[in-house]
Amino acid sequence: MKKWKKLLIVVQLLSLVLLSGCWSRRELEERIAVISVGIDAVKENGKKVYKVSIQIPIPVQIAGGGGGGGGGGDAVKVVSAQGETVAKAFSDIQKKLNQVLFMGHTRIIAISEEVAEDGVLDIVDGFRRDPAIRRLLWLLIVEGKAEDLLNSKPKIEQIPTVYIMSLIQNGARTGAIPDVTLGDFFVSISNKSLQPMANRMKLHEDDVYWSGLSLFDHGKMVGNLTDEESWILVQLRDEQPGGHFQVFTGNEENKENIVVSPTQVETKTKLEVKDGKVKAHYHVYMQANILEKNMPEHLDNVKTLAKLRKLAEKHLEHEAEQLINSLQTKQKVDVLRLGSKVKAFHYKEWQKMDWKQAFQDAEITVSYEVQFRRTGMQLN
Amino acid sequence: MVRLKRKIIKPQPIKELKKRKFLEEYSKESLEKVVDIPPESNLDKNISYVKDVMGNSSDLVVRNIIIGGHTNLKAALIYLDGLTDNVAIDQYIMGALMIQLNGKIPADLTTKPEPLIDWIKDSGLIINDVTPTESLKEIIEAILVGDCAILLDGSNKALLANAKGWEKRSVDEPKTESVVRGPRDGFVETLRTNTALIRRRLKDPNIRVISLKTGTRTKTDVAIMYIEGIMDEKIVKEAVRRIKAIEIDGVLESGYIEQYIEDNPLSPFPQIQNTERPDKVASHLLEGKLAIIVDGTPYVLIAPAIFSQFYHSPEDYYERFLIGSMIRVIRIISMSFALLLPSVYIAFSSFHPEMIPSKLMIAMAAGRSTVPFPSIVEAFLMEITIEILREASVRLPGPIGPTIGIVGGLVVGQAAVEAGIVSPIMVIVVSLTTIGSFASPSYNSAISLRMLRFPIMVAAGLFGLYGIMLALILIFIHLCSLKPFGIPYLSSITPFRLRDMQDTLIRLPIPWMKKRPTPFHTQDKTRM
Amino acid sequence: MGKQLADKRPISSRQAMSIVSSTILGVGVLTLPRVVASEAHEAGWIAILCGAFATSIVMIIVTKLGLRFPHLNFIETCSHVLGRDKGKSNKLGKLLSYPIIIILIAYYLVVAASISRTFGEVVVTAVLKETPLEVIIGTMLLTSLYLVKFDIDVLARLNELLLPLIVIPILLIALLSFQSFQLEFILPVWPGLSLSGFLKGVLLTMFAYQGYELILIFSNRIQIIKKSLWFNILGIIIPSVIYLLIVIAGISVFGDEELAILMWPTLEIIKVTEVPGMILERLESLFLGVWVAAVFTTTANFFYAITLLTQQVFGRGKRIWYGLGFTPIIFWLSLQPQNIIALFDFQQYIGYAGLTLGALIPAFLLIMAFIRKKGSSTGPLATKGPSAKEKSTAIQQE
Repeated sequence: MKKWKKLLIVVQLLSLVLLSGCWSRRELEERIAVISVGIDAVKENGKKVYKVSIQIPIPVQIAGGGGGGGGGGDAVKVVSAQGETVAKAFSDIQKKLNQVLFMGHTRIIAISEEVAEDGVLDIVDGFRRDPAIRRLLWLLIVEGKAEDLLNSKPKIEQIPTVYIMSLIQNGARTGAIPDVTLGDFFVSISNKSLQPMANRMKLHEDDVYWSGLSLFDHGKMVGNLTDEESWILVQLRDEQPGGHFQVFTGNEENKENIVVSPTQVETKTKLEVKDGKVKAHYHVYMQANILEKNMPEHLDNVKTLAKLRKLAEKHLEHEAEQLINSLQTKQKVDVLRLGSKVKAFHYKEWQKMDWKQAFQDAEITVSYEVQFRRTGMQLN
Repeated sequence: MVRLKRKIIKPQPIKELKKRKFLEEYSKESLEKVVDIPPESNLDKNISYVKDVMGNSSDLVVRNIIIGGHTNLKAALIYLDGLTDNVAIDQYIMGALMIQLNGKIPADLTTKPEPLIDWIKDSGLIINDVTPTESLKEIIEAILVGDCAILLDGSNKALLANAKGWEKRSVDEPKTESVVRGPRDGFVETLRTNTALIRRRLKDPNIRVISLKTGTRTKTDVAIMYIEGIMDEKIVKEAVRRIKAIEIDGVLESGYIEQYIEDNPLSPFPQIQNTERPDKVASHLLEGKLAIIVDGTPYVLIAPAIFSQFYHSPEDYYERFLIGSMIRVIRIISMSFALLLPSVYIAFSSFHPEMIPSKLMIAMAAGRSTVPFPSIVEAFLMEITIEILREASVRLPGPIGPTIGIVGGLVVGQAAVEAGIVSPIMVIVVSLTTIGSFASPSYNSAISLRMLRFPIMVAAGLFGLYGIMLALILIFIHLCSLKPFGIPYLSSITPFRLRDMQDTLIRLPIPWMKKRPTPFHTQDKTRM
Repeated sequence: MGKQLADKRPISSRQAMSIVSSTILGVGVLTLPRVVASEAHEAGWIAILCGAFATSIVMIIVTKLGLRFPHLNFIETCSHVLGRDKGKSNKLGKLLSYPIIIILIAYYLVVAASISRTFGEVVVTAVLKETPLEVIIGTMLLTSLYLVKFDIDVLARLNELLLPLIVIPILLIALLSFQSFQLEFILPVWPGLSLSGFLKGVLLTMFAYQGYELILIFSNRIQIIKKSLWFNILGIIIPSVIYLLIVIAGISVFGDEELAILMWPTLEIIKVTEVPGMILERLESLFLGVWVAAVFTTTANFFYAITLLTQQVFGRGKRIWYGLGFTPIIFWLSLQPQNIIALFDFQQYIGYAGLTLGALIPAFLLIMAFIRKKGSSTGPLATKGPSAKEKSTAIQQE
């Protein structure tokens, strides 16, 4: 009898729990997966407010997903709303949708240049607090309107976000695009020795392409790097090979050149701190292949290659010097991670110096060592 | 060391106890009253006693004969038709008594039935097992097991000749535990055949067989078999005690015994293993366990059982080490599929969609968009359907059973998806679960996992992964608390012994396994 | 004799080690990287090592005390040490030991409450956002209650069973996160800390080790072998290694400045960890799911110790009834902090209390026993020649 009583209690408890509902249960189809967020600034009653757009996939329109649907129609929908804060705008978006927004699958947060220039700290704060937001998503700065990025139609993928995401992901994997995620952005904001940066995207008709990096100083965008500058930066900073570059072998008018593809980069940093003055020397060892040759000379002897090597080194060193010069004087941000190196290896001096100033005064030199490994299937 | 506790007989309410006692006493008395009278010298009287006790059953045969042509030597054969071998009775009892003894009976014995019956036992019957008796009770019990009673007029002694012989199944391939490689013989319903099958594998003089009878009415023969010198005697004593304590009128299958002697009858997990395979029994005897063989069933019990042996199959040892280990790992994976897959699906789709890759998540959402139920209802619906299909296919006549199973599964699944009642992913989940549960080598452990799947699904429907883990912890606590015959159920996993891992998750090459498993407190600890 | 002894001592030393480790490993891991980074900055991992070392010393004291009175439970030990000699009535000893026991029970109650609350908080924040906190705490406590029902050997086996389930995922995560290891973040080794600041860091890491003292309550049921002490210390080393790895992982991935502002740093580490070839993404829900086991062993072990102590105080009764009585108390206690910040403050007080109680009580008892020459100073294994040997073999057999 005792056993039955126990069972009865268990049954009662169970039914209590079952009846009171499965609090957090929300089915897949009862959530609206936000796969990308775009943030623009617009004028409303003379005041500047945020315009937040989200891209949501329409499951039934997507091939392979269940019968019925399919055919015609867009695979995604873009919904937007305005608000003084991002959170306010989101709650306005929610009003337009039948199910609850779900940020767990957000892959891209796109911010327009205009907003970035005014500062992104208040935008980012909400994303930091939301547990559903990934740290490994891509924070992108869009030249133009972020909404347009969400509305773009690359056509190769049904979902534009997936297209852009894989574009950057693959670029980051091959080393052509810097691997900076939202998490890195967060870390760089809170870390005194780092400055945040984010990838830039550009739109041209239906095409979306990567156009370099945006540099931030305390959450405010202070400048841009072109794609070639970015490649030099990642070579110095992350030992990523970056993209192809052109080396002119003659004078620039007759356009004799070779196109080089770096495959592997190793960077060594020499750091010297004396009386608050930082002396840094980057030595980049690069392995590269020659992709194309637009000059009469044959590549089949070592001497020519040695000559080209020197030319390439010179070219890269020049580019790097220009980049560093611009970082020190124009944008005035240390995206080279030099600060954290100083902090790590010369902590006592680091404590004494004001890094922002010290970076501008720092003496930074770069030397390249290029080795051509292969010239392709053709000997000459 | 071994702690053997648990009272078999649970205290019962007084009312019920009284009722039971009364019934028992009544039936015992009525039997005893008649039977305790010793066989009288009057043959007819004895016959009528037997007939009275047996209630004049139609299969009771009483055959009056005259021995050796001496008309004063009247005798009767009493046996139950069908339990006896007709050839034996015709040729070796009746033929011997009636024809071969013709003129051979010493003259001085023809008038003295008492010594005559001893003479007949010694030189008359051509039967291997003949016992004299003076008790009618014994006669009746013997008739019931298939002996032939020979009563002689004027003698209060009777002979019980072993003429047992009934229709029985020949040794056949085990139906529920088929293996790719391994012996093909399985146990049958006859106890002696079964002990012989084990003995044939273990030609060890140290094998001990303890015979017991259980069931006040069925009087089922039970044999406990173990190897002296390996087996922990305390466990044997405990097993004998528990079987002797069984109070029931009928033991029709070894399952009755299992349920009486297991330590925790309310547990979903089997604490005693059953098998149809003599080779399995032999290997467990060698590991220091005992076998309980019950007459009338091909399922032999192995006790005490620990958790890990329920996913072991004899094949693991017959195949080579790598293959055996791999099969075992696959089996563990498939059993965890059977236990967890639907609940993990529920947890992912209703609580943690961020864990599913984005593309798959969109596809799943598309698949589910027509489904009118939450995923837990969907899962329950499909799982129950599959359980029904499975149960039905057991009952279906042999050849069409599997066909109906496949057709039913496919057709119902496909139709349900097309009707938008379930999502395509759910069908995959359910089929994987079902297939996974078939990979378990023992039916009773598979069924316990199948059963536990449902509460875990409820937990997953309430709290997602958190619920699944809580449910698993509850199961783990329960598993840790089980101690069949004083041996921790999870032995060799916990309490952990590195040496026992040789044969737990994987299996080391057989020549490396020189020690017997430790949990069973074997007396002889090494195998060679 | 041998059999009886083994029956009374169902916990093997390996299980004792598991109990220590799995009790220590709990919600501490979820916040430890932040706590350490905010006090000891880049030198966090040194603080962890120092904390482990200090805790090991306390562990030696606790084990020695247990070995000195191998046949007495904690209350008997207390009253024996504090009161008059055996044989005479020992009312004085009992009277003196009651305050200690009551303080201990109260402390354990608070610890069990704070652990279940903390875990409830993280589950509600990160995974089950709409589920009431009370439900999470309640289910956790009820599950613990189910364990309290059983004998102590079940607790020991459960801890042994769950330990690998706890250790392997966190180790994997710590190791995998080293793929985003950044050397600059973890240097300098000694970021110009003041000694007091560093010591505070050590102290805070020691809070994460609370739970080792439970071994004192169970010590008279643990088998004694020569290496008992080593197994107990190994029980501390396992969580230390995990702490060390997860703190290094945290600092090297985020840097101490970012780490110091993350509410649940370990979850964030998992967020940035990509498991190669894994079908699933976002493993933090999965990790929290698995981590239920770790938190459960901590809560349940404390809960068990509470009921065991109460049972020993009253000398009778079933633990399950005491457990039923204590469940609402723990539940109520766990709901006291208003928000998570208050909870974290509260945890610091608990930490200080735990350090005091966990280290001072055994040390005090051991010193008293030493002064009053009570108990066997050489330990139970070395007492009598043959019988001791017999004992130990009997113990090892089980």
